[in-house]
Amino acid sequence: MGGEKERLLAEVSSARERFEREAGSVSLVAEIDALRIRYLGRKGLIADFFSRLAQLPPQDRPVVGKAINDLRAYVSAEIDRLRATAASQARAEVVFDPTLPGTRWERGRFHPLLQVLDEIVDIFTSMGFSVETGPEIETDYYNFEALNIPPNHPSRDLQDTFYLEGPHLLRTHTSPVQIRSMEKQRPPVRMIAPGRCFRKDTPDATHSPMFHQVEGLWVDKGVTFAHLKGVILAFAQKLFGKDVRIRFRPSFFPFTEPSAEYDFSCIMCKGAGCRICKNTGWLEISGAGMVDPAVFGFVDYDPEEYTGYAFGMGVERIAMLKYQIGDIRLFYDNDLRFLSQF
Amino acid sequence: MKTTYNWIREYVELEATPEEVADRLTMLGLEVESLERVQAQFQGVVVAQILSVEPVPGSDHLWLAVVDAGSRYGKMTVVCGARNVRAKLWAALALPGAILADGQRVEPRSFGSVTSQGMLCSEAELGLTSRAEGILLLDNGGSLWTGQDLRDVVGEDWVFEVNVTPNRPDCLGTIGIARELSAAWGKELRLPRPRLSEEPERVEEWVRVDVQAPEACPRYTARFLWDVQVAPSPLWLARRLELVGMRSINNVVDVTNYVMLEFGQPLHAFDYDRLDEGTIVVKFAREGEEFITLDGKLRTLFSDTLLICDRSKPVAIAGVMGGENSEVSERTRRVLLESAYFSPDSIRRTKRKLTISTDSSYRFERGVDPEGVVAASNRACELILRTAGGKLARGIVDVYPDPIRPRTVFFRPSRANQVLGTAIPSREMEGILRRLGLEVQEQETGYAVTVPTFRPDLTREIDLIEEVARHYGYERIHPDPVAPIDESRTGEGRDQLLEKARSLLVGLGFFETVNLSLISRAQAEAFSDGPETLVKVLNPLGEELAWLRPSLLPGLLASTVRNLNRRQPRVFLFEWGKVFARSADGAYCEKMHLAGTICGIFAYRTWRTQERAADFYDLKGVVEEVLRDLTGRKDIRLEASDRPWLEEGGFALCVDETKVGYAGQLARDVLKSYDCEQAVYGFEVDWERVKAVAITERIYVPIPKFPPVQQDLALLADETLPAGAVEAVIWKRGGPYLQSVRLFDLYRGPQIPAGKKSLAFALTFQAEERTLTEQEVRDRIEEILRALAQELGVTLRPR
Repeated sequence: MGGEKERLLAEVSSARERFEREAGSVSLVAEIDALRIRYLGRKGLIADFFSRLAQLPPQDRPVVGKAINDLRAYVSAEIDRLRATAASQARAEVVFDPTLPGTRWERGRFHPLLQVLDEIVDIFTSMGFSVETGPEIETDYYNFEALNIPPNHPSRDLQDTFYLEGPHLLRTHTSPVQIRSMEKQRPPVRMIAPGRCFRKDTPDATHSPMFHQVEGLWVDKGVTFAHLKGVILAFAQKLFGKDVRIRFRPSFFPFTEPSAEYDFSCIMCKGAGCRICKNTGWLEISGAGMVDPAVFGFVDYDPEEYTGYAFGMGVERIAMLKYQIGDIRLFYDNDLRFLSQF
Repeated sequence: MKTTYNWIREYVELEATPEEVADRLTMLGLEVESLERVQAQFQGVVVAQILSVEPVPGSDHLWLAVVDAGSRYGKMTVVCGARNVRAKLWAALALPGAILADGQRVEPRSFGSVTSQGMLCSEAELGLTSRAEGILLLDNGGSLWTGQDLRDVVGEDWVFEVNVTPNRPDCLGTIGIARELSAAWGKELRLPRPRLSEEPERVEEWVRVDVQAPEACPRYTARFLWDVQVAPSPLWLARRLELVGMRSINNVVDVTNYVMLEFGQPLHAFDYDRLDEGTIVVKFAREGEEFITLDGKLRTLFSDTLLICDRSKPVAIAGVMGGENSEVSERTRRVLLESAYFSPDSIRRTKRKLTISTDSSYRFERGVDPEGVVAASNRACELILRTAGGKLARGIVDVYPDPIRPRTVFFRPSRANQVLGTAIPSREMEGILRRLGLEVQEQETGYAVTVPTFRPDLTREIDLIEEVARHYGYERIHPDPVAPIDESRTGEGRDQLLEKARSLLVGLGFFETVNLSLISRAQAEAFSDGPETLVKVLNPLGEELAWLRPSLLPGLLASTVRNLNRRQPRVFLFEWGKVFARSADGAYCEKMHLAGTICGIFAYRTWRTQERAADFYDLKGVVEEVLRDLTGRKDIRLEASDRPWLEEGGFALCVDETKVGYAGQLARDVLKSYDCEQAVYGFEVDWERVKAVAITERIYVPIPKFPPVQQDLALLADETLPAGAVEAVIWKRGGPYLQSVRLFDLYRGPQIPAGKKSLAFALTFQAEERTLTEQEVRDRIEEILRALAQELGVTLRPR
């Protein structure tokens, strides 16, 4: 019947077709190797064909043997070709490179001065102070008179004022907000007033015709100078750290009595003396004091019944200390190389 | 106010070093702004006595002096050009090898046939004063000896610059400063007690004073001296004045200045022979009257300018400055010395109207001591007699019709402790007040305190409480912690909506800026609703800062240009703050605005994307995104507008029916005026309007349970037809299930007919309650296409 010869020839022929198909879908070196082992390996398909060839009658062997040999030659040549192609492709293959730069997400920054202002406002808010605002175009009454600074008084010389028409002017401090707040309500009043102020100062490294101030006020029964020192100490330590000390020096403001200037121990040298504190160990911050009874007169509070303290601070001054900025004008120049540092 | 350590020591014994004195003064409220040590800047200079003087042979201006330089250096011959070289006088001799103040070295030098072994020095050469004319002549009251090192004679001193607050006129004299230290350290205050030898002739024989304006001049005194020798001041006087920054003029004028710096009482010396009839009349000027002050300037006076006049003419502006016509000069022999108390109000008015401020007006406007007027006059007379010689008439003309009495203020120690938060014993408070020169009388519930007239600042109990606190020591009042920090309240005090806007913009790539509110007229006008609405500062620092900004954009634009000039490729800025305007009735108003600008690169070129410049659509997108978030609205409309600073009027930003602001490309001519060549896009909103329309509460909308159906439409429209019109029709006809419409392609090119553009939209349909059928969506699309064709002539793009 001799069916075995024909069957083997048909299998060799279909193996060739199958190899052609399989070879068309491999590309990686590992896949090519697997293909080679399946066909040319010691237990591979072609080895199997040869072992079956040995069992055929001798007269059938030359024809079938040639077919198997042809297949082997074809497969080896194809495998070599595939390997060569794969090798050249491996060189061009895309390799994941995590060191390429990440996507650049453009983002802005909050202004350093306003970051400091936010921080100051947050500290006082957390101590129970409300935040009040008032107009930047003020009247003489709120900016001066009701703060016990009468017309022509020498203490007006302390602040050079920008005037508008009539009684109007650009506020020289945020203290007028005190008056406006006290007019609106009876004690207790516990507020801060942050905002822009204006003084006729020629711009230089430490002066600007526009600057920011935070004014604070607490009026109630039994408010004392010791409370004022307490609130300033708490603020200083919250802002610059637990080891900051404060110093109050007598001074004069028409709207406070007793009046003080307050200093923080130098945040750079911890009070030992350095360039920043001009070797004094102290940094001048701003003014404070007990609300002058005359001011209470303007808002109709009884100075025998109520006492209060008020304090101010320059935001630029604090921001300059905090960031070691030497020139106030940088705040209003808005140089991106500056802004992007904060 | 400047004074010196040695000067203070004349009135109070000091054990403290100059540094300790400075610290103490600062802690008393007399802030020492600077402390400068002054030392002799020369070496090798000794005291010598001139033995003989003769002309140098063959010279008409040089003298040959033989001087005695003591046993160690012996006699020396020196050549000298000064005119005041006289035998027997005591002088300063620079020995060979001496070094003068300017660093110059003195060596023997030949003048023809004679050799000068050393040099007789002037005050300027020794760096003692600026006086360079003549040699320094030493006043030997027996304390000098020949050969003595001059450094031991003119010793070192320390100059304090004290910042005296406006409430403390008493500390505008060295005695006032000494009084503070005496009170602080419990040391006796030693006031000068002038011993005057008066002649029998009474002052009234020469001087008459008529005060016609007693309210402006409550007290006027005059003394009279004759036979005075006006001459350069002695070294001690000239040097002390120069140390505190005052120029030495002559002995009489220097004495008036010295006493002013000692007592805080300004004085004026008139040349009596230039006063008509020896009469002083104190009265107001006529409006427009003219007068030449001693600085040579012609002043036009006002009817409330107080004048010192003689019988026929004004001779001084009271308390401010004397006149040229009666100034003391070298020729003066007779002197009328004025010491007065002028009312602070009057001096202040005059100072302001005439815009002159002098050391004198500075003190009078703050208030000198009306009871100290005579003491200062006496002290000056003593010093004039000592330095200029002459004779003093007996008595003083003192016009003081209504004496100013010391005030009595009631003081409760309990109140002081209540205000200060302290427990200072009453006795300690009493001691402080007494040491300050106040009279204290104990009463049942406190003290009656009599305040001397040199402390016009102490009028109320609270003022005395401050005195107690000052001298008790602010540093001894313990901080009372009453407000524990509650971190949970952080952020409560801020405008939450504004915080959101700031965070959004920063997150979207904008830098927050702070620009000056003051700008130039041109900047303001370009962004205003008309020049009449602008706010001008009447006394600006300069034209560049003369107007209040009507908009935030000029500041942002200026900052943008500065950054572009510094080669920043991407400038995205924003600011929030007040803008200012005047309404038609002249009222000032200010509003909170928020504005932003973008310019330059939107996206940088990277290894996988192309660079793209920022444009109008970037601005539009950011404004829509921010306003949607802030106002809680889905739709922010841009309507064509008429802002002159925006290209073609720009766009109004509308939320519902409210215009909250404007956006657009900044007009080219505006940019040009800033020298800006790049396109800038900006927006500005009225913050109160944004807040008014903002819906901050959010209500949950259930998330759809059923799948969306997406359908793309590629349409062909006329080039002139706005995409928004197409989108509007899609929305109108899209039915209740249309959820979103997104333009994802805009194409113009060879594939489509000329004059047309292709718009490709992605439409999403979704129903809450069920899955939509294909048929439903197809029906809607049909309807949309019909309407687009009918209303806009828009068709499907053929494939």
